[in-house]
Formats: sequence, structure tokens, C-alpha cells
Amino acid sequence: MYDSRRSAAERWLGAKGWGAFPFQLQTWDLMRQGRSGLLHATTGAGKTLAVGLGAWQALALPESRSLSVLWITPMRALAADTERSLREAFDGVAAAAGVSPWRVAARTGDTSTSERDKQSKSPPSLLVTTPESLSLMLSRPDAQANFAGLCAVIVDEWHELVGNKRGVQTQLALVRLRQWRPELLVWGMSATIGNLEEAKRVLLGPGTAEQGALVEGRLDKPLIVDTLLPESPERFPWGGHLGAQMARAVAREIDAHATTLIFTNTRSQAEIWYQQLLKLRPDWAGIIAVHHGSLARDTRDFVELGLKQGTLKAVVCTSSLDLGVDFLPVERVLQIGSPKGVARLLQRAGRSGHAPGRVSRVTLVPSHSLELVEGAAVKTAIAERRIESRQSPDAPLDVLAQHCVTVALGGGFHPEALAAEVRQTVAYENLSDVAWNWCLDFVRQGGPTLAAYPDYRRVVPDEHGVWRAANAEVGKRHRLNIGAIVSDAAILVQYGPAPRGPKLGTVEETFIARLQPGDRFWFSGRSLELAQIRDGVAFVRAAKGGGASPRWNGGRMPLSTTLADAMVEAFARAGRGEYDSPELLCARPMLELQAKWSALPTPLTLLAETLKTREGWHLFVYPFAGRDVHLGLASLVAWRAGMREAGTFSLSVNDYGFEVLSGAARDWQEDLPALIAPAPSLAALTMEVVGSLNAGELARRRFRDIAHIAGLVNAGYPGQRRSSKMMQASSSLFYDVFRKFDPDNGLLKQAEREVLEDELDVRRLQATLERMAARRLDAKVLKRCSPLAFPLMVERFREKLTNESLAARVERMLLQLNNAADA
Amino acid sequence: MRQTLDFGDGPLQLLPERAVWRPRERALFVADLHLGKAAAFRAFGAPAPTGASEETLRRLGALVDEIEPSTLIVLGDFVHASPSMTKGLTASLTEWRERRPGVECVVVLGNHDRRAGAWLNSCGFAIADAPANYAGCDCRHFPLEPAEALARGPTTLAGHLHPMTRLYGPGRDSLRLPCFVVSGRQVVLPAFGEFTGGSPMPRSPHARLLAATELGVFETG
Repeated sequence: MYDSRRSAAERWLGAKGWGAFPFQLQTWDLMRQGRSGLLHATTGAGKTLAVGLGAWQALALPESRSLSVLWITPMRALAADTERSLREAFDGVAAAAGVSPWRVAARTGDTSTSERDKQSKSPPSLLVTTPESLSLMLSRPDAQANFAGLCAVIVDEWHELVGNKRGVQTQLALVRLRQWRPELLVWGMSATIGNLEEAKRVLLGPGTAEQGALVEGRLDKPLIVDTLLPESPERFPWGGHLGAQMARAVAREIDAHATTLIFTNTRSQAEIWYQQLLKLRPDWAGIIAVHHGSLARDTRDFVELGLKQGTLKAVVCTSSLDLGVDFLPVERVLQIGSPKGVARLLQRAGRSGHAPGRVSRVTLVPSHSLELVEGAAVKTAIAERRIESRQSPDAPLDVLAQHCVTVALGGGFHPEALAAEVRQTVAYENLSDVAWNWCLDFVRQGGPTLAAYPDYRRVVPDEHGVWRAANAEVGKRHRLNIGAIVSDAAILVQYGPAPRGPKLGTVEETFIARLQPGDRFWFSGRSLELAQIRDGVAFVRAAKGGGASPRWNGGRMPLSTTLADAMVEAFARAGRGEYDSPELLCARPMLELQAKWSALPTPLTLLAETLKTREGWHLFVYPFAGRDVHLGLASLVAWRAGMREAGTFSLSVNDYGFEVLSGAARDWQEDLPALIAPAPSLAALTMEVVGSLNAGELARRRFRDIAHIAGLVNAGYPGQRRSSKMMQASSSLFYDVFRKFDPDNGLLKQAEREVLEDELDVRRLQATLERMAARRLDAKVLKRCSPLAFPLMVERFREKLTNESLAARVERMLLQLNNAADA
Repeated sequence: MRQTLDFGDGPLQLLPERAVWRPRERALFVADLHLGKAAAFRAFGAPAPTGASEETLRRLGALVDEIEPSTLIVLGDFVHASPSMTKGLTASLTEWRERRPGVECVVVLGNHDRRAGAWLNSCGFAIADAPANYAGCDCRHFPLEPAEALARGPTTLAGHLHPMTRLYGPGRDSLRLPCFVVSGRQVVLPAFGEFTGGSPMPRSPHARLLAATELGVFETG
């Protein structure tokens, strides 16, 4: 059977005019031998056919209808496309082999209830789904029976999952499935990242990764990276300042090509750029579009279809179009603003010239002049093949607690068996007994001390010692909240209220809350007027022009350290007068001004600047260690300064450096060497960092995600009425209540630990401090704000750190208020 | 530091403890305690810790004992939900009441406790539907619409909003503080409870926002 299927697959590929590539044949052979593995290939290189047809050849499915293959995709937007292209392939090869084709279906958050029921009654051979929907399936009481015929799991775009909590959720689901089906074939597909061997280990688990294969796909697609250079580059890097100027250049690019994808880094940036382009070219209404994750499903479908059929000339999008959707006829790819990372830019570049053998080209569009230097840096990094790695998170307790409830609902568990099972994942291979027992206590009674949580039960052991959900309400709540992506409370935007019109998508509640009925805002590429908010829906009318653009808080990605290092080298080259790329030449006025008023960063020096303004006493430091590390450094510096004399500090960070601002007088120049000195030991640094954590707001922010994943606060779905008025409380409120009434709570501890690991990673901080100390401190007193300091100074989103009493702060505020009133 | 207001029918003091005091009638007003909120969360499967209700009751007791009012009026949402009415809360509330026999205690029912009347009675609290008149004031849970509050009428006291205000200081410092909202003849009280949260009030030319802080009650604009 196998030989006939292989020749059918080859015949079908041949008829398509593609032929089978060596890496596809290799994957087919490995799958045939029953081996699992990871396929390294970019989108559009034929990876779907390598693994999809590999499964088809390897698995002789019984006639009885049961689910045989799971295909996990990180984005539900991709599910429909994957379903379509797999169905086409399976129909084609089945016809060539003269057998009946595999039945393919998709199941995501978008799938209707009737469609789900149909899938349950008559399961497809292959089901395309997301990590969240897979967890939902595992939470069904008959989960084990449903997966009794499962032979293979395929994880698409594994590089998108390996480094985050959704990936952890996937790891947990995989070991669960392997428990039931020990022979399960597991295959992943990943784009280029720096640690593919590690990614394979995370996918297959530490116990089985050894036998897994790593297949190198075709990666030789030529790549061109260049930059749209502004005609008059600004000397002060202000996000968006180049916007209008660059919009004209972008419009010319769109004109010159059949289809263009314009990637932005945030959803609000996408909305703003779409408006800019329409303002320049009103005749493009209808042939350009905007696409991001907060838009209504219908709108996104329409845009994706328009791209595929080539009826749209340009689409402004976010990471919502980063992945998948093979063989889009996109001729040109533009990246607005910072590429943030080498791997990410490679991925986005892959959207152009998508068919095998074509050249990929991506053009950077700087939104301020520092991004010109980033452009120069990213080109060097790509030329030298310096690409970022992605690590699995280490034992996150919130995801584990969620998984325990999932398993309790999906048939129940014995604690020892489940502990052994989860330890088969890389994420939990070092899970301590203490952490595991806390997790059990948490799902059983809310915490280790029974007294703190009377009457609370979520999961309880039955008379046979099998842990099950305490009641039906637990299941209902859990299924609503499952998932590891947390967004701010979203509110549905819909035309209405009478008559009710189409739904446009969702915006964050915090944005809508600031608007009054009658106020205008931009959304989904339209100008809208708020009519009223009712039952969690913002009803809107069409308006003519004007208004604010919503901001979405999520997804501010840090610049990778790989790229940051390359950037400092670029600054140093400029400092030596080596303007060796068009980007550096273009940034020259800004770089020369920075050198004149202050100095340029180099790998051998650490640049710092101090400045006194009406706002107060500013300190700027530029370690180029990425925004997460800078946040930790800024907190530490403010904490140490507060130890010398109590105070309140406002912190601002970006990818290049950080600012600490004090409203009261500080001699930063005098104090600086001590403030940034490495601590005498890791233990001493830990003490300082924990101190800064308690004085700041970082842990509170982090707690938001944890409270949601652990099922503490109910996110609900946009547009759906919150489950109950009685159940409303913000995670911030929970944070305060825990701090006050249950300070040893495990979730609080996790929030602290996550901040300590991610933003305030003590080892990394100490390493950074040591690296900073090894460089010569170059501390400049500024007369006025330098080009590097400028973006930090105008940053609106700030962290606060204080070790003053509330009374002292209120007193100072009232003084200022009274002075203003007297003036 | 207290703030004293007078809308023409006698003085009214805004207390830093997030309460209103009517000295002539010796009447004390509080709003939105949300007792038993954590228990309601636990009943629905969210592990909220104990302690908040006890702390709220302790603070209320301390204020009442210090000020010695003849009447205590709660402007709604005294208790959070039906699962909040646990044996434990019933016992501590009854005991709280028994220790203060000289004080008349009334709950003007709000949206959260509109079905808690019988239970409140059993704990020793009288109940009233909004609007009710105590100490010459119109007492309600839901505030009047702004236009209505600006028109003539008796002093009106309300809750429900859990109002907060934002204060700004040098060096880009800012704070969110619970506040009273005074518009026309109406005062909306900040939430008294521990586990309540709040929502920032928009600035308006018709409303004064007075922050309730440990330093006293201060005008914030």
C-alpha cells in the first residue's frame, strides 16, 4: 500500500508541475518508519505537503470513522486555509491512488455549534485546530474515547509557540495524548530560529526527543533587505514623526507593484497607516484594506480572500498575517517601524516571492531616525546569520493549574500519575514537589491554607481517589476561560442600536470607557461615532472624519538582544566615520547631533546622560539590552536611589535604554557609579530586586495575565454579557486583596517569580551590570535633550517606583495643585 | 481634615474615613461595603481570600464607636450577593449589631442587596427602599442624573459609583484615590468596603471631586 501511495503522491506533485523535493521525500520516509521529528522550513517551501502527505502515506486508516490526525495551528485565522490546502492535496492524491480521500475539517473558536456536533457524531480523518480548542476537547468527559484512534499530531508554525505559554499548553496536551496513544507520531514545523535542536526537544519531550529527526527543508530562497530612505531625516527620533513623509513613499511603492503587504508592529499603527494612505489616495478606497486581530471575522475573511484573488492592491496588517496562508500572490513586503528581531523579519520577508524559487524581498520603512540604524544593524545580522533563540517557559504554575482542571473535567486524574505525566514535558521536567502540591491545593481549595478559602472547591477527589470537577459550574467557567493569551477586557463594536448593523470587531474596554456618546474614533479603517454602550456592546454610527485611534495594550515586543548588539556596532561604525550603508548615511544628521551634544554608544563604553527640566531631574542610561532588561535596570536604579533618600520615580524604557525621573532634586552624576554597580553577590542583588518589586507596579501588571489563566477573573467573550454582575472584579483589585489578606498566595508568588525571571531576571541583571561595569562609563551632562534621550522623555507609558508614604506624595501633589491655583 | 458643605438645609461633613456625617441630626452615612464579596467569588469557583469583610466591619465599628451617631444609614450594596450571606458573616454582623444597641441602623437597599432584606432584618438591621428620607436627606443607592441633581430639592446622598479621582504630582507622579462627587445638592460617596475597586470620574464643570485620604478630604478639581 505504501509504495502505491508514495507513487500517487509523486504523480500528483508532478502533475502540479512541482515534483517532490528531497526534504519532502526524506520526511515521508521518516514518517513511514514511525519516527517523530521537526521539519525546518519557511512558509511556502512546501512543508505542508511534506508532513501532510507524509501522514497520508504512513497511516493506513481503518474504515471505521475515528479521528486519526490532529493538525495544530497557532492562529485560528490560518485554520480555514490549512483545511482548504490539505483537502485539495488529499483529494488529489486519493484520486491518483484510486482510494477514497481523507476527510478534513477545522475546529476553532470560530466553529459553529452545529458544525461541532457534526464533527462529534462523524469525526473527520484529520482535524485542524488551535492549542485552545485542543484543550477544550481534552476537557470533555469522553476525551479519551474521542482520541482512541489518533495516530499523529502535527504542530504547524512551532517557532511561534515554543517560547510562550500557549506552547506550554501544547506540550501538556501532547503528553496527555501520548499517554493514551504511546505510538503517537508527532511532527512539528518551524521557521528559522537560533536553537532548532532545543525546539525539537520541547516538542517531543526530553524522554523521546533523542529518537526524533530534524529535517532541513529548502531554505535557500534568496533574500533582499533594503530601506525606504526618508528625503529629510529628522534629527530627533519621534515615533511616527516621519509618518506623513514616509506615507508618500509607501504610496509610490504600492503604485509600482501589483500587490503589497504592509506590516506594522501594533494594531493602532495599522489603523493609522491605513488612514494616512487613504488620505493620500482617496481613489484607493475599496482596493486597499486593513487587517488585524481585533477586526471582525467577516472583515478578516474578506481581506484574506481579496489578497488571494489578487483583487486587493495593498493590505496594512499586523502579525495577524505573519503566518501561513501559502502561496499568496504578494509581490512586495514593507515593514513599518522596527523589525524587532532577525527571525521575525526573515519570516515576514518570506511573504513575498512566496512560491518556491522566487526571490524574497522586504523593505524597511523607518518611522523615526533611530530605526535607520536598526535597519543597518539587521542587514549585518542577517548577512552574518545571527538569529535569535526561543526557550520554553519554565514551569508556569498558572498553565499547570488550568491543565489540572482540564484533566479533571476530561475524565479525572490520580495526582501521582498526572505529576509523572506533566514531568515528561520540557516545561515541567524540573517541577518541584512543593510547586506541584501547591498547584493541587490551589485547584482543590484555593490555596494551601484551608482556612483562607472556606466553601471553595474546584476539583476534588472522589471515593476512588480520582480528582474530578466539583460541580457543573466549574466546567462552564473553565471552558469559557481556557487559553493562555490574555487581552484586556474587549468590547464589541457594532453598528446600531436600531437597526442593528454589522459587527466591526473589538476594542479594549479602557479605550471605550474614555469616550462619551457623540465622540468619534477610527476603527476598522472607518470613522465612527459612539452612539451608546449597552450590554457590553459599543453601538456606533458612521461619521465623517476625525477622532482618536484606539490603542491596544498587548503585544509590545522587545527588540532582540541579537539585533541590539548589532545596533551598538552600527553606532560605533558611525562614530568612526564609517557610514557604510545607505541607512547610516541617511541617519547621519541625527548621529552627528548626538555625537556633538553628548556621545555615540560603542561596544566599549556605556553612555549615560543627565538633564534638568521643568519636569524634574532626569537620568538616561543606554545599555542596549532590550526593553525587558531595561525595565529591571531602571527599577533597580530607582530603588537604590530611593534607599539613599526616599522618593518617587517615574521610569521610562525603550529598546535602547532607560530613563529615571525624580520630581525632587537628585545629583545623578555623583550617584551614578554606585547606582549601576554590580551587587557583591547574587543573593544581595536578589534582596534589592525583591525590594524594588514591592515598591513598583511590575508584579501587579504581571498578575493580570496570571489571574486570568488561573481562572480567578472571568474574561468572558466580547459582546457576551459577563457571566454575572456578582463576579466582576479586576485582577488589580484581586492583587490588592491578596497582598493584604493572603500575602503568601501562590499566584502572587508566581507573579513575582515571573517578573523576577522575565523582567528582573537576577542572573541576567547581574550579568548586564557586570557587562556595563566592564565598559567605560561615559556620563554626559546635557544642556538640552539629546536625540537618544528624546524618545524616552516623550514616552507616555511609564512605570512608577516609590518608597515614600502615600501621605508624602499626596502632600506634594496638593502643594503643586495649590501653587497652580495661586498662580 | 473634614470638609463641611451646606446646601441650605444644615451642615454636612465629608469624612476622610469615606463617610458623611450630619452633625445636627447625628446621622452617619456610608455606601457600598460589599460584605461577603469574597465568599460569593468562592461560591462561583474563584478562590478569593477571606479577611476583607472582617476588615471592613472593623473599620465601620471603629468609626461608629468614635463618632457615636444616633443613626447609621447605609446607602446600598451593604452585602454583595446571596452566597455572601454565610453563617460566618451572619454571626459577625449580628455580633457587631448587638455591641451597638444605641445606634439605629438602616440599609437603603441597592442593586446588590435588593433581595437581602429578610437576612439583614435577621441580623438586626432595618431596611428601606430608595429613595428614603433620613436626617432631612434624600437617601438613595443610584445617584440622580446630573441635571436633576442641579435642580432644587433636598440634600441627596447616594452610592453605587465607587468614584475615584486622579491626582498628579511633579516628576510625572500620579495617584488614584477614592473620592466624593459633589454636584448641585447631591453627594455621591466613595465605596466604604475593602474589596470594591472603583472607576475614575470624568472631570466636569458641574462636579467637584474631593479625595478621601489619610491626610483628610481634599478638593482635586
